[in-house]
Amino acid sequence: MISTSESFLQNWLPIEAAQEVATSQEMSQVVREASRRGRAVYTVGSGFRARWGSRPEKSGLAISCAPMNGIIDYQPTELTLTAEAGVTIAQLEATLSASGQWIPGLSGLPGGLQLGGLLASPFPRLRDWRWGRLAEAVLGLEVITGEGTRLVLGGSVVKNAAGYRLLRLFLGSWGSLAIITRATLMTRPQPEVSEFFTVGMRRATFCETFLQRLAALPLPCLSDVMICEQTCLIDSDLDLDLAEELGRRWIAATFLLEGDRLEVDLARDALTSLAGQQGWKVIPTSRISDTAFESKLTTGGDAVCQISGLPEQMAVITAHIKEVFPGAIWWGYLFSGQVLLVDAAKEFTIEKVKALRTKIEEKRACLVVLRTPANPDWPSSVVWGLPHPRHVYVQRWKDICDPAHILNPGRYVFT
Amino acid sequence: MQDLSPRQKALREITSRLGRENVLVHPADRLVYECDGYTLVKCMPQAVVFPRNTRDVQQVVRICRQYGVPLVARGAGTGLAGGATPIDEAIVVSLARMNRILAIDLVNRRIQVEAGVINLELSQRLAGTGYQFAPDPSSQVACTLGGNIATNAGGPHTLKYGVTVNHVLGLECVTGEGEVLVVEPRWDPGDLDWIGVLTGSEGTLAIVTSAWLKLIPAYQEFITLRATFSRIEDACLAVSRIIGAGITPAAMELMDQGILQAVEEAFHFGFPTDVEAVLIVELDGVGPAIAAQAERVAAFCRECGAGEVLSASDAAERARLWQCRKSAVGAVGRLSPAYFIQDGVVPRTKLPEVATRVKEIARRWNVRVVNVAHAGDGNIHPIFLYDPKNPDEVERTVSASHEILAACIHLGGSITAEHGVGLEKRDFMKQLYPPEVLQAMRALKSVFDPDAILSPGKVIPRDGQEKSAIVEGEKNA
Repeated sequence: MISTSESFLQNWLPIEAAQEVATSQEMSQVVREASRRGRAVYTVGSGFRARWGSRPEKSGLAISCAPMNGIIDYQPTELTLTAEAGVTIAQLEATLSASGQWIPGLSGLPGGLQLGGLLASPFPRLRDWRWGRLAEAVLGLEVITGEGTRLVLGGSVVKNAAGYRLLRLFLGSWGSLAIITRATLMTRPQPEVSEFFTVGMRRATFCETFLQRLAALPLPCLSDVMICEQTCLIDSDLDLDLAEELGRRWIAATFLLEGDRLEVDLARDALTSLAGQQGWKVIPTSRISDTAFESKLTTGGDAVCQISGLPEQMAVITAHIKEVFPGAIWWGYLFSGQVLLVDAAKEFTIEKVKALRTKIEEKRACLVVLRTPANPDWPSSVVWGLPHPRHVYVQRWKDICDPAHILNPGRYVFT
Repeated sequence: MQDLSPRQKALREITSRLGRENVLVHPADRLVYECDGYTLVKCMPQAVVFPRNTRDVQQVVRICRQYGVPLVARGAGTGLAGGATPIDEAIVVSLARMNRILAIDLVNRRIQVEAGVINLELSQRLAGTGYQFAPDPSSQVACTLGGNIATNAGGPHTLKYGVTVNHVLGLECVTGEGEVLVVEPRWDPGDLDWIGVLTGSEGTLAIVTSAWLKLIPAYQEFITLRATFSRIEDACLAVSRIIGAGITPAAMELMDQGILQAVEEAFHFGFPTDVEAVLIVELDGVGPAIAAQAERVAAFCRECGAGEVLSASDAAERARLWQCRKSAVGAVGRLSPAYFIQDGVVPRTKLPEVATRVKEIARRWNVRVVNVAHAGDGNIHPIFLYDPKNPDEVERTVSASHEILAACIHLGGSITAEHGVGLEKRDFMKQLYPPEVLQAMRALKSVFDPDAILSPGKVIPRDGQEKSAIVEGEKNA
């Protein structure tokens, strides 16, 4: 029986049987047999995001990689680590921190998340802009395709230009093209310092001058800027303070500074000076960070939308969010160009999401529903569609990798 | 029209669409396009065409597809693996005239360029802004950004900042079906990572016509060290010690005695020519912080047997040092009537071992090899000096080169880190990857280019194809 037997998971996925697999060979056999019988296969990692994507209808087999939880190889001097899909973030962090290393894309995540699920289900992170998305740290990948074929892709060297980088098409494909069983990741020396610096400002200030001022202050140690308008998850008093001081409509911008102590100190001084000149309110760093938001995103039961656009579009995108979902919580990663909208289910209707999407698309940004509320009124599919010819290429690649369409059918955009 | 061959018909239609001024057909005009920087294989193209925009490229691809005529995209022709060599009597599609910088957008930290823009032009245009485009191949004075994207080019400073794919935000390209594929410069979780796979696909899946590239804040302070070693293996060992200590230099480059002699003869920088290797280590950041790092780097070098460890005295000396390094391959022309540069990669802790193997292989095949390396990445560039009029020497050179690639595979590395597979290494793909992976690559090719008109015969070995690329090139020449 799979280890993730929580009721929400069982209720969400039409599981008729469950199986844990311990090796990639076993995974290959299980998938090959499922393919032969046309039986749906649902991959389940830690279960944190089991309810993301559409609600599938076809009953099938749930497969867990939890027993595949070994760190196969770690070479600190090579800056590479190879691990199986069932390895948890806590395991990885413990291993890496002993050598003063990290993988930026894993930082700050709940320790129970499994590597395979994380690589299969992309979502924006605070450090993406500076350090690259997690996919960019993957040097090698082992996957099992929908026909049960084991593919070992890439390698373990930091630069490799030999042939097509197929692994990039499996990372972030939500398990719909192949099942990830093992990965080799590039590690990095951990920065000496990683700290936040937060300022609050009126929304009008944010819209009119904030980005221009930042453009004139290029700081290499700035990993990204997190923006939010409601910090009540962390500190409701702060919300009240800011509202009183800055007016009802305010924005908090949290700079993530990472690097040498001296470099970070200089950057903070430059930002403090800029804040003084611009009349931004400096907020004590202990009162805000990204971890509460990350936790809400990963473990919360609310609906989640993800909106992608340019940094300069963030002001207008967040204004639209406020207009359509006045009670929702949102936060964004400015230079990564991502806004995450989290909402309690009662406000999250199809009509409202469509209304927001229409406004968003006028700005050439895009909106995707990552997690729908547990509400039977929602359609089985949340596919918004890709422009021609991209959807043609997606479909062709799907047909090659999973010709019987057994991998996570009806669950994600690719099926 | 009935008496014309499909190639002639295609060319006639292309000329009609693009205009005569954008099509070269005279043999003398076409001669320079018979190869790129990989000169062991030369094939005369059927014609060379110069599209002015994406629509032109689309039309050329559609016409070629209609008549079954292969085509090969070309930037500046600085590729080193034969990726732009027009085998199969292909038509060369030169992107050189699509050379506009379309937008510099510091607020959103990105720049939009056409494929034919020269890499160095970005550095020049961004000077003084505090931002940079990080990938800096040694050929950056000539190579195009489209070519950089096609080969996923690297360069000295990719050690810290990553290769080209890490800096591409969006792409516009034309697939083998003549469809314009636009990947917006935003991350869309409802789509696949097309940028990740199209970058480095060497023009065999699609022809990149424009791109959105990432701009990153640039450090303004640098310390550039050069350490001399009497044994090249010791220099390689120092590389691992520095990385293992948690220091990430902006660049870590190695030059051996042969290349130092060529550089000295050409540029008179003042490199010693009586040592076996020089390691250049550049640190960027905030003054006192990198000064402390530099002391540690120097200590590691000395522990590993370095003789002198010197620091560039000022910005001018640093600039000249990098000019020497980036021109090093060109300086080799003083040593030999011809040369070709190999590109392999090993785990960086295997650098001492591969350095020894390169020396041993060169000695056994009686060929002359000098070496540069992006040592911090484990990326070696043995440069083979040969006389093209001496067939025996050419054969021994090719054999030695192949043996070095086999050694890279044996040591857990790969046959190319940044130059790509092209024609040169196509047949080596069978040694690197199992059949099912090659089959998956062929399948991906069929997704974008079902009629295989984009650079056929490159990157992936054809089914059942056993003959070497060089033999094929000779046949086509």
